[in-house]
Amino acid sequence: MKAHLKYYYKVLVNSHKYIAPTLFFIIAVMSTYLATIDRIFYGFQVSAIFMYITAIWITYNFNEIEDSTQKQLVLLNTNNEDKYYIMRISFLFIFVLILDLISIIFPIFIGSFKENVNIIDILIGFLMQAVIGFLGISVANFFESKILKDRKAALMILLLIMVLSCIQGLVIKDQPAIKYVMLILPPAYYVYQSEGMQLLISLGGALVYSFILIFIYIKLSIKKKFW
Amino acid sequence: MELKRIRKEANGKLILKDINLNLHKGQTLTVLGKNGQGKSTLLKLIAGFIAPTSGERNVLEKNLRISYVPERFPKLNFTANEYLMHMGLIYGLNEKEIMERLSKLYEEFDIQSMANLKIRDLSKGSAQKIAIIHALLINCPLLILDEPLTGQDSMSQTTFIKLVTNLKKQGVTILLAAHELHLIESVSDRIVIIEKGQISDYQGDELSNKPLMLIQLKNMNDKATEIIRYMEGVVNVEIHRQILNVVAEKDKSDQVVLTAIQNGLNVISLNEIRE
Repeated sequence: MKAHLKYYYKVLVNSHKYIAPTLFFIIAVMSTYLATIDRIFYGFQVSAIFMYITAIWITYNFNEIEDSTQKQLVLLNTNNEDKYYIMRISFLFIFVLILDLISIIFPIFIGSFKENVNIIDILIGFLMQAVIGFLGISVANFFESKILKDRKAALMILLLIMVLSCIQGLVIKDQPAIKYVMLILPPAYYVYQSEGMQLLISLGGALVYSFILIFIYIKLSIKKKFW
Repeated sequence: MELKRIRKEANGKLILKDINLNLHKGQTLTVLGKNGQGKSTLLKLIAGFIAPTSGERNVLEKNLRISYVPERFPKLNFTANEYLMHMGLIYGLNEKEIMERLSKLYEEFDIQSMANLKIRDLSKGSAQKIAIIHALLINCPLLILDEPLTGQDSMSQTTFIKLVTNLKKQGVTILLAAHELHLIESVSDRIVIIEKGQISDYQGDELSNKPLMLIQLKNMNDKATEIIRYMEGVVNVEIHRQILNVVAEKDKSDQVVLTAIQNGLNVISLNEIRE
């Protein structure tokens, strides 16, 4: 596992494609917390949206860095197709967790919160952003050029899904007739909008949704292969 | 491995049609064919990168590990050393093993000076050497090579053929797509031709009726002998009493003579032995 992570780290760093999404996330988080926040949870909800966008962005970039020949060679070296895809997803998730940590530590470090921060707040904030980040990774994986040949179309559809999944609940309230269509979308809205017990249910639902997407993605990738 | 009634379509085009092929352990199988006939597709299918549209690809050996040398090695932003180290670690080798193997392979392919250059900055031939070294580093029981000799100088081609010969002795199964029949004929157990997506066995015995020349050379040296041995059109090379006797096709004999002179040999005689 370590060998894969080291390799993918080098691939990402050498490509410089991590810079834009990382900068976006850091600037967004800094902008959020440079003003004093009344409620801790509100801050984490806002940074969760940025985490979702960043996770989608970095996953899309990462999947486009290596050409198919190089992916084939790494797959052969790994000698296990499931392991190959799991390693890629694990790498992206670790990247997301690092950003997650930054977004938790930064506001505490600069004293952004009026309220006193306790360990429960930190854990909930961390978990919320980790799950929504994981959701972003699981969604964006479907939009690599191996699966969808037209890159422009893939990007447009991905952006549309990202935006709709962020405003999902608002659209359903406004247009109840399309509720069942909207509910198919990734439940990002429900993750960052929920509180208390509702949040735990939303997090559970988002995790299940993510794992289903990842399972389908891996099976589809193995079946469809590189052509 | 066996391929049964393999058919492959892509973008509405039929690329492989009713391919039946068995790859036996320890065999060296060469696939000849012009560009665009399906050679690379066939190799990728055997490697498991692509799935057939219909038919079966049966791997008879459990957990078969495959090395692959692509036709075009990607332009990577890694140095050769970095890349090969990563690939070796992913495969499961430890750093010490990788360094030892790389050291020998760099020497054999004479690319020590390129080890710390970025692969994207290397020439096609040099990048292809890195691809071959990668495949040899992990040393799997099945080695697939897609036109490994393209872009290589004659010395490297000679080195490659020697390596293939050694790998054959070690029992490695080799599947090779190439254009250079004169080089790979001597190492191949079976040659097939692919044309319009279908394969057939190579029946060539075209050399038997070509006019031949006997070129006698002196001041021979090992390096020159090896270069001449693997030149196109050279049928036989023998050493007799310090004289190198080369039998070559008449229309290639000028090139053989030129190469001999360039490598320090002197021409004693040049005679036609068959019209």
